[in-house]
Amino acid sequence: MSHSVCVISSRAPYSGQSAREALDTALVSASYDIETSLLLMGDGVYQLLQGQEAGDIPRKNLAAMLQVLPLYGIETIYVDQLSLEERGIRSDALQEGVTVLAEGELPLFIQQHSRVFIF
Amino acid sequence: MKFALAVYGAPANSQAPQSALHFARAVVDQGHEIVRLFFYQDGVNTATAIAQPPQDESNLPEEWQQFIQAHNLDAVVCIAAALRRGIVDQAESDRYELPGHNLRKGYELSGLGQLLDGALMADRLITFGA
Amino acid sequence: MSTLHTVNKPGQAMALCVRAVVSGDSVLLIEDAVYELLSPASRLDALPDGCSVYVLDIDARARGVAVSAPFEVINYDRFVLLCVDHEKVLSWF
Repeated sequence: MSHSVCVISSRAPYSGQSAREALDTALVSASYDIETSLLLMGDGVYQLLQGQEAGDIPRKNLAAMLQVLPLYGIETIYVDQLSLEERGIRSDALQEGVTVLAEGELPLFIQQHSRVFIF
Repeated sequence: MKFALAVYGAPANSQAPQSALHFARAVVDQGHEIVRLFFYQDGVNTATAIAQPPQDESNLPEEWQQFIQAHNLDAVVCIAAALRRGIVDQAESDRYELPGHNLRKGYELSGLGQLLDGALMADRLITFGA
Repeated sequence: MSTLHTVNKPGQAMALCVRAVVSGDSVLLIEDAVYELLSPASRLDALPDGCSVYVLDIDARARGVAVSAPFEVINYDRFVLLCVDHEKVLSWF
């Protein structure tokens, strides 16, 4: 049976290590040649805001780290539309390479993966 | 049935390791198999050998260790998460020339790939988050 | 093809969980998620029809939260059985 993995990342980028450790999980999964999706929900959508300059905190720029995903075969990042709307974020404020999932699409999208990791 | 358990919360800032232990005991009692325990994020603090809670409180690192050893479980602590949070074994302590080591016996430091492996090996992955 | 969703706190974890549930799934409230039962505007009201909601006994008792129908109080043995009976477990926290 061939597996597919969905990593759900639901925390803002710089308050802890959760966003980073979710991303690491997606990268490890993809490096095993498993079909892998990264889905941002809740405060996780803040990871995609353009113009992040985290060097003074100092932290690594998470938005920049997300841009390496295509090198691992993860071509698009999925985002929960409702989470964007609740936070007043328009999808054109996000970096490129994003697929927005409408409310009705979400359950099926998540459940079509054989393994789901939530962070 | 094969279970993989992931613990993402520390004893002092979440109920995750306590809930996971209750769950793990019930899994074993019912004759199921735990193919992997994986401690990630702040959950790595569960593997410390040098926490000393007051005597009238539960000592989760010790209780988990006893459970792991009694059932001969494969208990993996994510090495990158552990190094970030100051949980190291003798080898890592030597490698980075640290003043000591504090990984409890029964736990093993290894890579995040072990979380993926465990989840793929098991029929069910149950996560206890912070 | 049903999923067991565990939730361990009210707030975002509960909101995202409810968004991912489909009819036939089950939801288990553990740890601080039992406080959701006190909310006058519980997100559980938004669950689709045909979902069962379970509450972990020791976590509700620890917090002084009373549980009444249609919610069902269960112990860890039932928690394990629910994991077996559902194809997948999603843990929201």
